Amino acid sequence: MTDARLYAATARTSTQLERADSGRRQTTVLTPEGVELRVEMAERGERAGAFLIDALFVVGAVLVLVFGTIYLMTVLEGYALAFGLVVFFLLRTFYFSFFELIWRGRTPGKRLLGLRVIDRAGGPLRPSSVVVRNLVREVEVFLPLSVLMMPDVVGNAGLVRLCMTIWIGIFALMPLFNRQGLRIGDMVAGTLVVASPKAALLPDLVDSAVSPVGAAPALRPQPVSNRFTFEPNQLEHYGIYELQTLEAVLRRSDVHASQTRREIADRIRKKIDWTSDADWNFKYDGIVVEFLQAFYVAQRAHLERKMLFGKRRRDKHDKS
Amino acid sequence: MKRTTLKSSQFRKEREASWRELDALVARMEQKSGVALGPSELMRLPTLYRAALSSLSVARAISLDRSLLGYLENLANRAYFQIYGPRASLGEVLGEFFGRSWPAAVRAIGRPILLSIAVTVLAALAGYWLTMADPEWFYTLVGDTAQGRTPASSTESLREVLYDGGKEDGGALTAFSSFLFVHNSRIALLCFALGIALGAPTLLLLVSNGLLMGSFFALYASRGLGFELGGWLIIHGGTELLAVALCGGAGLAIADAFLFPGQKTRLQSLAERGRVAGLVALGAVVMLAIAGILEGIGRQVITDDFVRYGIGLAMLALWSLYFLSGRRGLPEDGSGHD
Repeated sequence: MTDARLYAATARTSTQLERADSGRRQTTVLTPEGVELRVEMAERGERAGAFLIDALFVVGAVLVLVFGTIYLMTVLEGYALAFGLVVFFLLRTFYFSFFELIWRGRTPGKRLLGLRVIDRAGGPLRPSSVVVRNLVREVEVFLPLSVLMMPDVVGNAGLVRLCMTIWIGIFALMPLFNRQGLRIGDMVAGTLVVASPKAALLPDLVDSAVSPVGAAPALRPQPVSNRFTFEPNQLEHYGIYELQTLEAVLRRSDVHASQTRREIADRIRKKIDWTSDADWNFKYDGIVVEFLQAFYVAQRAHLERKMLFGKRRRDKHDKS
Repeated sequence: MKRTTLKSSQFRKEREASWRELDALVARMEQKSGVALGPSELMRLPTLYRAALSSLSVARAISLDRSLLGYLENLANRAYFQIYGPRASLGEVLGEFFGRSWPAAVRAIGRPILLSIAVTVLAALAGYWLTMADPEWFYTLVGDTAQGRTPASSTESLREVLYDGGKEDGGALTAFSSFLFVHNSRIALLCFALGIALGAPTLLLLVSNGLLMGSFFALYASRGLGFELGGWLIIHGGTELLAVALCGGAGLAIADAFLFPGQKTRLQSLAERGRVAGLVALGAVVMLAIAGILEGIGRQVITDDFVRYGIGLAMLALWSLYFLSGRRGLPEDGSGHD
């Protein structure tokens, strides 16, 4: 249903930060080779999740350390305490930097959630950036925590405490105040956290027929049917946005897919005024899919040809 | 009836094999973090990566297949992450850091560091002068934190604190130095990180640190123990105060980059300077570890004033030599990539 509605709906004007298919916001990064890569920015929630996972690891390690130190204290006394103090500090300060260095921009938490740190300007991620973005955590996380847990001594009650909380809150909550969701550490280090999901290369709809069951890979790819033909003027109705929505619909395989496809096929036939001598029964999903795919191929061929001449028709409202 | 052939699907057929090859290589690199590829595969990687990038550019121009565009975008992304992620091993990073990028970074933000030293010195002078004029200031500037050492203490007990080490055993001394190290490192890192707040908290920390020292010094000097306190302080303090000054300078450098970005955007300016400042702060942690050892063990064991002065001044000289020798300027940010 949603796709059918989308198809009919007005295409939105593209803003600077377009959304990817996954719903994440995108931004572009210019690689050293001069190609603009579109990257999906990690959602704030995902980043918070990754941080919580990492925090759990750190806390777990610290607990092990504390009990280990207590045990060793009985044997080694002062040395064990010294060891414990230093390792705790190193763990807290360098856990993130260490993993982001050896795992190319990922910590265990980020790895689990499929996130990654990259250079915002598109260059290589430098070790210094990694270190800096994580040293700043001191202000973003540990300072607020220590203020929250500070005992109410003289000069630290009521108003003073409120002011401090607000002041520090600005730092801790910075990701909420900018569109790219940068935290202070990212700003200072010039980095960006992106999602790195894997995409699979699906078969080309132009030369392998979709079975009505869905876009499941057929054992023997069938050529696209050529029983439906379209006149050039019938291909002047739609733009790239509609074409790609149609592609998505053709690749769908959920239970509502056939319903959606039937509605879209009806809508298209009405819009382009398509008639045929033969009597096609558009009740069957097989026929609907065959028709839609034939239309997809014809429409894509048409739009791509126009593109070669420098005309990019964005959507059906684009009259260029 | 003629079959439609599309340029974009022909293009895909021609290039698909090389994408799949790159995909397989990248997938293997993602699985293992170390060297997962053989020499010949490593040779193929950049070629395949560039081919994929050019495919992406072409596909954007000629193809409307959204699945193909998405796949190429993703493949190029993943290959880019692998190729431009921090690549150096930990050992290389450390060698690079101590050998080149840390001293270079210190030189690059020399002026803010000098400013932070100047602020500390001025605050110390002010603290000294205030306490000399009226010992009551000591309670305001230092408070009760100085292990019960106040103007009310006797000269004898003040002297005792300077030389009472040595009785403790090694374990307790080590614990003491690591406690000092952790405590001071937190303060120093805070000094750096608070540079984000336009430098004001950094300056405050530096000033209060200076005031405290000056006031303390005044207390001892008024009892004729100035020289002895100097030895007690300088053996570790030379290194420690320098480290704090470096962090303060790093914080001020960040504030400066944010407040006065010049021709760049604020974010660009912040990102460029932030990396340099962060290197300086990171190095300061190393200095503080050394200072912690000097303070926790060296000072307790060595009670001779002249040896204390000798060690402290020698450390200062070493640091200055280390930071000031070497080429000027920061060689292309320095750290670990080629």
